[in-house]
Amino acid sequence: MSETYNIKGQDGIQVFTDLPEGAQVTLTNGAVGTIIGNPRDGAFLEVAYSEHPDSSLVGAEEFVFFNQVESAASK
Amino acid sequence: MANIVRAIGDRSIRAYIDPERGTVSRELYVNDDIFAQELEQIYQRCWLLLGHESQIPNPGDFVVTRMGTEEVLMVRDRKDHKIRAFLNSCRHRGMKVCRYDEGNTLVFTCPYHAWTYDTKGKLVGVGFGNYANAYTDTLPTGSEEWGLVEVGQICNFYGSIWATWDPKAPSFQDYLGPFAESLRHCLQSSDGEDAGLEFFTPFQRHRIPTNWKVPGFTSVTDLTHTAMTHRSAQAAGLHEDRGTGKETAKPFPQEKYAIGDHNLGHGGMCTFYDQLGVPDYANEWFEPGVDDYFRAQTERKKLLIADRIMPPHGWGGGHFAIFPAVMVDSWRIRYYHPHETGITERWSLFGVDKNAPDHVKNAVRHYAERFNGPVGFFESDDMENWNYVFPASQGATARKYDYFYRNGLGHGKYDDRLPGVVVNGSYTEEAHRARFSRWLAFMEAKSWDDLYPLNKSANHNIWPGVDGQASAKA
Repeated sequence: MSETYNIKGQDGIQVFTDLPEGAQVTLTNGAVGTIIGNPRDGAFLEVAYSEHPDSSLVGAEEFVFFNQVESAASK
Repeated sequence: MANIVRAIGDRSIRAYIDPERGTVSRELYVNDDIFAQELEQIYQRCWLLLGHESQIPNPGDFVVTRMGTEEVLMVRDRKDHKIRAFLNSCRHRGMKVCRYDEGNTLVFTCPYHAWTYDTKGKLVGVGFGNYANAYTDTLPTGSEEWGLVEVGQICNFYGSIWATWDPKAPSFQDYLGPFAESLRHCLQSSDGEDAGLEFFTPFQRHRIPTNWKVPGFTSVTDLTHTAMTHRSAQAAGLHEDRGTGKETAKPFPQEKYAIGDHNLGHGGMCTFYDQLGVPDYANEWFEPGVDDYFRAQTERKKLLIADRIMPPHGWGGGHFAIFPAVMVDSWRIRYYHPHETGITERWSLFGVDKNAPDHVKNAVRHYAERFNGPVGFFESDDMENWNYVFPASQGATARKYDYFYRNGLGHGKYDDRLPGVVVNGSYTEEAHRARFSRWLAFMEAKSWDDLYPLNKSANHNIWPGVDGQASAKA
């Protein structure tokens, strides 16, 4: 059973900062990806896309800013 | 409104040095305009020491180092594991992208607007980078144009990392010239293995209220200061600082000189060895087992170079300087970073065989701490001189009186064992004069095209009387 991380709550910034590698994130544009790196700066996550509105980006790796992340959950 | 006159009269930079008199104006050490010109003409062009590969062994490791007055990130990339170096300044608004001395990271995130760079220096993210009509159509992430400013060239020289901002600079090997083998030797472990050292961290760092050239140009090759400045330490018997020193090695034929390469600016104390191989080891350490280790290492080194003469400077053969301000010898590297005209930061690196057992590493580290730095028993003497030279030289009266750099002038000779290098008596100021020859060449040059070794026919020696040759004229 997957765990949902509350990245929008009162402690959301800290929760976001501590998101583990391997967790899955859904972005505001509908893209879905796996966290492959977290610099723990509270700002960015390195994500590998498994789904993306632009199909050419499936499999691509990008750093996404916190405002792009809609939700996060363990796999 | 009155103009501020920073120097007396309209003088070219060359007029601040009088080679025939053997003098150098104090303005070179105290004048803010000259300092600013040094940063542009020298520190933008020269190869500068960044540190050592042992500081960043793992992917993503970084340290903050310096090139002149500016902070530089030395980073080992996460993916290709190459070492790169970047200016620690965000391309957006100039904030430091890293405020830690060292660490391991995925990215460097600017705390101002979140411009974020990977360990190759590439811009990989910006704050709100996905907002329509904002960055999206003006700043594609991954844009090479807006990555961190990378050094022009970088070189791993037997584990030591050097860089220059100038892509037109000659290779580091050519920059070193005849000093390359000496530097290589000083970076070997005690059994002669190349790149066999690691360096204790953190480095010793001291901020000294003086001009960078006071220690950088004149603390290398200055045996006379040893006799006076460190006389009290010698009186207390502190020269036997590693141990009892009771055992004496069999004399190894050698000649000692002060040397200077006027075209390259490097120079210092130099020991020419006149015999193949390596001297016998002599016990010198207090700590048990340390002499046993170094004796065994020496025997291995003897086998390795039995048929060769050691490079000059090797085996404790005196320290030498790599222009502009790095000092190297067989057990330490020290370099002097300018901060302001009268503020210098000195970093001291102490190497030890990377494969040595812990008790040897601890003994070497303890020795380095005993000897060096404000709490060490030798260098506090040096720093006292350096601290007072600057305030006693910058006054309106004091700066009118030139420094004396004539010691040994006219007595130097070229020597085939180090082509292009002037060899002079141990107590002369030959190495200091060589640094000023190179200093002036840099200050006047329009680009590296004017400078040796890119300009092969250059003769930067400004001083008279070496082997009867004429000095370089304007």
